[in-house]
Amino acid sequence: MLDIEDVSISFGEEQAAVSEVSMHIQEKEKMVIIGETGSGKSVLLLGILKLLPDSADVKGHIRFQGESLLDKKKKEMQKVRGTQISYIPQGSGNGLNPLYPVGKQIIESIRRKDKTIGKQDAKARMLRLLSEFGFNDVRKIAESYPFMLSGGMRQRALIAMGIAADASLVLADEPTKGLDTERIAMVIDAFSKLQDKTLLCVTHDLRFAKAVASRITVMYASEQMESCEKEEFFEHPLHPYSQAMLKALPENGLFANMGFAPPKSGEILRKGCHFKERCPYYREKCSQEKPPFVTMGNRKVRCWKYADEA
Amino acid sequence: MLMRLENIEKTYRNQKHPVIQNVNLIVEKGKTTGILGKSGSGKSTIGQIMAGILKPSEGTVFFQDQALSYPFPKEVRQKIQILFQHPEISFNPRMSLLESMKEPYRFRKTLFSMEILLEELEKFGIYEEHLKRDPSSLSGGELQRLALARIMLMQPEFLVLDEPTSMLDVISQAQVILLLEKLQRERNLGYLFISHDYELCRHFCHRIYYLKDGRLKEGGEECNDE
Repeated sequence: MLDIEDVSISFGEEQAAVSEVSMHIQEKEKMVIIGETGSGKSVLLLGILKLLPDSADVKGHIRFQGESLLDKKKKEMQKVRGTQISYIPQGSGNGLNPLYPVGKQIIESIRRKDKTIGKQDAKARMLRLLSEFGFNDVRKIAESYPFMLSGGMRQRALIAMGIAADASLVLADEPTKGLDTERIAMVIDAFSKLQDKTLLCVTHDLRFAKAVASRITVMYASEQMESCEKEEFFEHPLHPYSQAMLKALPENGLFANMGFAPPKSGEILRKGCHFKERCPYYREKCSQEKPPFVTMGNRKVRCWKYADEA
Repeated sequence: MLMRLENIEKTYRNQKHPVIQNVNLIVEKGKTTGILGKSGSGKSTIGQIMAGILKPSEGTVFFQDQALSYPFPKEVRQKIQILFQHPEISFNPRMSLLESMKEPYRFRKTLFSMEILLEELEKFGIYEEHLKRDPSSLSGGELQRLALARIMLMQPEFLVLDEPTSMLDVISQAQVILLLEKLQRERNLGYLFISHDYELCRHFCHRIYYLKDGRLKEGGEECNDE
């Protein structure tokens, strides 16, 4: 469905925002990329959609259903976005147009894909979508402007709009950021309705990832650190960073046995493993050489602890 | 008793019904009181009343058994500080971070010393390198630790923590919470911790209140007894 191979994205001279990321997403798979702010996960999504500014240098291959996206012209890409690949941007409901009622925007994306559909049919489909996403008074919601809805409602409306066009691949950026537990549960519920879609979602919310993902990729400071099945990640994480994240969850004791991240500068990242300053298993080799992304069974990990064994 | 709310009610202007009513709660020295509730339940309203930003419509706020008037008297205001959910709004985007960090010195009319500041900031994992940047180039975790460091320069006795980690990744969250626990032990601080995360509250708080439909569920449940 989506093949990402050795993709690096950089802006000018600076350290790459994404370096040599590879993943192969099968149809109907739910891939969740976990990483903290600045790890490069959002840039990767924008790179797939070709929505980065011209100053971005994207290397590698991105193939969607066998076709190279990087070779597509701007106009061709516009046809792909929204109809074949939909995108749910970050920030509860920022992707909605403040000047139009919510319903109208959803109808617009339905009709963009299916130009033959009649107005009434499109409207009926829009109302059905809204009710599927947990809204009660759907007619009232459809007539509401985004500012009249709460953050959680806007986020759900946005997801509804994202899938309204019936695109087969859905990209989502931090869909639970800043929402409370109950609203997160609603968003999880909304995502669980996407069973027959392929999902690529980035988040730093581990509980959300646990509920939604089938596969997990962990990114840290532009690099892919681990890639595996969801169960493997939550039950037996390999990379020291994955382990640290899970231990830091309040329900797992809220441990943080690592130093504060040094301000990220090119100097630190140029050599060796990107996680070296914070790693409890640090050894000399880690600052000298970048660990390879080695295969271990059906998972991959980038750490000298495992690379030496493999 | 560090801080106490007695029969607090708040009705916003142009609204018929109170957002919160009949709110009674206590915060003890060196302890954390948590308020759990959904978005829009009025948690932040309680926090802002306790921080002196918002005047209650009814009821009394006590600080060390002294009933407070609004605005809080100056000597009390310094002792009560608030940490917000969005660290990026805590800093003036037009000021360098170093300038922002000098503000508490001005407020307290004490002499600024870079050496002492850097020594203090080290405990928060903040270095000179961070201060040279502008607020937008730091991560949420870094900014939140800096915001915490800044309010600590005011030498407070009570902090309102309004969802200080809900925008952070898990590791940054754990680091901020552990930092808060350490500061509490060292300086005997009282906290009001506002959150929607039950697990986090259970870990961090000594007493938890549930806020629903503008009312606190009666009695603080004791937990986290070590």
